Order: sequence, then C-alpha cells, then structure tokens
Amino acid sequence: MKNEVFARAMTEIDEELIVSAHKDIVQRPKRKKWIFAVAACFILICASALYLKNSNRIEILVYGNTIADQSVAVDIPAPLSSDLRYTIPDVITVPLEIQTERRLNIEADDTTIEVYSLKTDKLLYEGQVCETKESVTVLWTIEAPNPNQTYQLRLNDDAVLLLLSYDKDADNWILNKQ
Amino acid sequence: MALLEVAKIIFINLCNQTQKKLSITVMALLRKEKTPMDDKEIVKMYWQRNEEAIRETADKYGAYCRKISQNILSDVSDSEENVNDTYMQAWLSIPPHRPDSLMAFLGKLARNLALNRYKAAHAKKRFADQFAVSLDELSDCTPSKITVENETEVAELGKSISRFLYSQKEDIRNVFICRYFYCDSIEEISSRFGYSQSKIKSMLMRTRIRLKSHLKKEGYYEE
Repeated sequence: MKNEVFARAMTEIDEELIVSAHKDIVQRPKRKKWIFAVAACFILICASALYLKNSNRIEILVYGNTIADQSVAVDIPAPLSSDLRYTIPDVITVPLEIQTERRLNIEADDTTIEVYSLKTDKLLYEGQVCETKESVTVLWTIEAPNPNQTYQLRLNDDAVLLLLSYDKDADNWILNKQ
Repeated sequence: MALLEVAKIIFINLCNQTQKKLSITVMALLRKEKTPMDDKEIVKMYWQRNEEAIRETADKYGAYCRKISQNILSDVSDSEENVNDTYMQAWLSIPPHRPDSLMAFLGKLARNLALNRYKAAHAKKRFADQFAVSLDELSDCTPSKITVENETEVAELGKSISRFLYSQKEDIRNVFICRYFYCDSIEEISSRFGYSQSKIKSMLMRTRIRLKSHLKKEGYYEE
C-alpha cells in the first residue's frame, strides 16, 4: 500500500484532534444556517415594515406649514365692504400641498377641488373625486360656505380627514386634520 | 408588497421546519426512543463484560464507524464487516484499555482495521478509488526513514504530526484531519466547511508542504 507509513501514523494522532474535527463537521453547518435564516427573516420583516410605514405617509401642508394636531386658521380675503354682513365670504378656497409616495385618492363632499401636479404645476383634475399617484397641490373650494356646517375632504378612504369649520369664538374658518 | 410576501413565505417555512422538528421530537418520545448513553457508562459496561455495551456502541457510533470504513474501503459489504470487526476489537481491547474518548478510540480501531483490509485487497493491483487518491497526495510528505513494521516509530510520527496540527489554524487543521484521517472526499469537505473545492485542494497542498518542513526539522528525512 502506497504511503502506508503516513496513513498508519495518521491513525496515531491525538484523540482531541480527531474529536474536535468531527464536532466541527456535525455542528457548524446546521447552526449557521439556522442563525442566518432567522437573521434574514428578521431583517426582511423590519425592512418591509419600514417601507410600508414610509410609503403610507401622507404629508399635508397649508400655507407652507405641515398640518399636525393643531387647527390652522384659513386665510380668508378681507371683505371689500366694511358692512359686517359681508364677513362670511361667498367662496372659500383652501390651498393644500399634499405629499405622498403612494396612490392618493381625494374626495370632496359638496365642494370642489382643482388638483395640480406639484412637479409640473399642470392641472390634473377638476371636480369632486380625484385619484393620483404623485404629490399634488389642491385648491379646495367651498361655495357659499355655511358657518354652521363642517366640510370634509377625505384622503385615501378616510385614512386622513381634513375638516373645515367656522370657529365662532375666533371668528375664523379653521382647518383640522384627523 | 412583494417584500412583504417574501417575508411571509420565509416566516411560514421557518414555522413549518420548527413544527416538523417538534413533531419528530414528540414522535421519538412516543416511541420511547432513548437518548444515547454517556461514553463513561458504555466503557463501564465493557469492563463489567456486559454485552449490552456492544449494542450501545452500535447505537451511538455505528454510523460514525461505518463512515470511516466506507471512505477507505468503498465497498458497502466490506465496510459492514469492518464495522463488526471494530466492535469485536473494542470488546477485546476494553479492558485493559479505558479510553477517555470512546469516539476517538473506535475511530482509530475502525481506521486501522480498514487499512489492513485495504492493504490485503489491493496488494498487487493499484486502484484509483477515493482513498488511493488521498494516499497519492501524501507522497509529498511521507518520511523515508521509517518502516510500517516499526510500530513505535509510527506512533512517534503520529505524535509529531499532532504537534504540527496543533500549531495550525483550526479550519486548516480540521480540513487536514477530515481528508487524511476520516478520508472524506474533497467535495464533502467543501460542502461541510463552506469553501470551494479549489480552495480545499490549495489548503491541503500548502499544509502538506508545511508538514514536510516540520518533519524535516524533526529529522524524519534522510539527508
């Protein structure tokens, strides 16, 4: 038998070497696979959650400021006449900037909207219901506004609700976000 | 959305695997499968000349001995015979031996017996089986001053090789032992360690060169 001396000598190596080489064979691959699989799954779930969270985000700005929890006073032009009967305007137009990375569905009840592309300023839609996939400027128009009524602008099937109402104490129209 | 779907699939697969493992454990418990006996208990049974020792050895180390035998002999029936011879040899050797590591003891017995069978079967002809290929590789570093009949010198050479192996990195050491003690194929070693086959061959070649240098320093080669 060729190289028998070496082959026999290999049989005489330390037992500790024989055992540790075998343990390495048996244990390591399974352990590594399991750990990597769990880690990969965890990273994937976190990444997915983060992606969905960010992509769901709708940011609404009015007069350049983000609407958060507090109400925002709507800027109504001063009446031409000093006659107090004319403090309630014939038309209220609220300019909104809506920023989103996903599909956006806008619904206006009893009111109208003009939707312009934020990038190109091009008029995309005029009416009461609009669907778009980009960030837009919306001119929300309420004709003959009734101070006793609250007007709603619904985004993405009530995911976000904008409410326009008359604050009698502040003597002003205010915008709230829900 | 696609990411979420992929995450869902991976999570479900992991759950299925866990469930499968749990099912196997439960089934094993139901069948009342026993856990392998401790090595010290098995050696004690040998000393008590309790024949259950052989059954316990077969349960715990049967596959291990079979793998070593198969890697050298290739033939399945020869390997089975070799495994049976290993049990017999263990019965005859314990006592007087009281091995610290029953696994290593059985591994050495199985290997030696397999080498004897291999030598007898291949005395005249040269074969190109897996074991023969691994023996060919050892031509680089087989010392010229020792004969196989001198068991003391062969044992000393084994100790020298051990000293060399302890000085190597763990991965390199284990790859070398898998190839030249366990006689695993390059392919098997590659998949176990996660290295490419060319990397394994390269590791073994460089280790053999270093081993030769080590053995030269220890005076195993004629000048």
